[in-house]
Amino acid sequence: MTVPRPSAAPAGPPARDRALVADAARGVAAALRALYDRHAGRAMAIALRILRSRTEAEDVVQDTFVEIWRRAADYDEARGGVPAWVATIARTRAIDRRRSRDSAARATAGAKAEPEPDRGPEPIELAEKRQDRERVAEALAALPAEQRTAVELAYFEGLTQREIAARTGDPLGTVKTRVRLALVKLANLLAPVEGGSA
Amino acid sequence: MTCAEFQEQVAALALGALDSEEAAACQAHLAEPVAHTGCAEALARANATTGRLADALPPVRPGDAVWRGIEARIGAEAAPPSRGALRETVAWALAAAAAVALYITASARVDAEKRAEQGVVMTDQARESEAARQRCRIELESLRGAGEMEREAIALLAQPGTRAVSLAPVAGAPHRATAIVNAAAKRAIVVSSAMPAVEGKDYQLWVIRGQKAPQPAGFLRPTARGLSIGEIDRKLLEAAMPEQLAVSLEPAGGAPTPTTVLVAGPVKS
Repeated sequence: MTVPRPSAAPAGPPARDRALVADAARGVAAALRALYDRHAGRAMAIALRILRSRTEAEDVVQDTFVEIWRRAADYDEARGGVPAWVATIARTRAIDRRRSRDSAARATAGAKAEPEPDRGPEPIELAEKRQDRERVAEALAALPAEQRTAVELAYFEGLTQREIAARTGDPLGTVKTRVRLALVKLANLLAPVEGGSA
Repeated sequence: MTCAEFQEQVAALALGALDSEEAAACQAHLAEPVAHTGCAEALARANATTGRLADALPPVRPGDAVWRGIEARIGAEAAPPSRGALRETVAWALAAAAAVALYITASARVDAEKRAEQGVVMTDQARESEAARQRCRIELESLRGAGEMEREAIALLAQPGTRAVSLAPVAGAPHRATAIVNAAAKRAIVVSSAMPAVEGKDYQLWVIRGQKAPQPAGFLRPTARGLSIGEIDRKLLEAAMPEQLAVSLEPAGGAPTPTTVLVAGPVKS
């Protein structure tokens, strides 16, 4: 049986990601390793932000990349780039895990999250990634506070609009408007700059 | 739902901030075979924007054991399935159904040949039939291991009037499923190759009629072949086919109302 060999790597991060996903779909384990090296830090950051537990976040990262391996053939570029795809999988799994954990925690009221080992984040960013991060952080900061809160509660805590309204005490219609306006503004602020990557 | 109403909700859909019924209604709107005015494009833009939110966080390196765990798990699995749950499911099922049909045909032919050739050396045709029968027997042996529900799905696929309907992922969720639906037989079986088992959770089936609350309709169960399969509660289909079917991920044993809808789609023709 011949072992699938990686395809030649075209230039540009999005094209490189797509090639790696295609290779992973063909069973090239080295391609998954390359995807892991490129995107595990992002998946870990999202999972850690949602779960506040390094152990649980690492479990989610592992599940995320096993799922990527299984579903590489189903990746649809039209739904968004590979980084967004990885982030979505990690976020979905982290939110599910947190909801399951919170249900158990409600039964044992007062239970605390697992204490974090004192490691702190390790800087693995390239300069362009740091620039991306700063740009997104600036875009979020540019939102009115209520819109930013709504987006953060939805994205990083997995709350529905109804749950956000219950948490903030604001009318549901107001929350819906804030979510809609926030994303329109973010889309404008994060539109690709001339000559940059999307 | 109109396109304008859909696009009002597209931001919340991309953020995963809609209730399950709202999300299912949005997915149903996208699946409608009408001339949409920019709905898919609006969702793509919203997904692209929400996908960037993760960039706001500084990356955090996982421990070394994480990759070793991934390596161990993928090393124990076969190569990833080919693209398209629908094509994969139907191709597998049709191949198995063809094997069944060929077995029946070959078996009948061999019997006829034996009756006609009493004690005489088998003709070439009989030898070919016997070879086909053996091949089919091998297929059937593997089919016996497939499970009752898989055989039910094959049988339903073979019935006239059966449609295979794709259940689309909700809010960027990486899931997909196919509903094998026969309105005359009042049956619907849901199959997915993209819903891996989750510890402590069950994939629950739902029937949705108009604006009414989703009705629990059964569960997807994993098979030895790596599929998840389940039949919609037949009692819920006796009166009429619903507008939509959905699958959600719930705590083990299910929930009275869906919490995290993964896929949904219209099934009423």
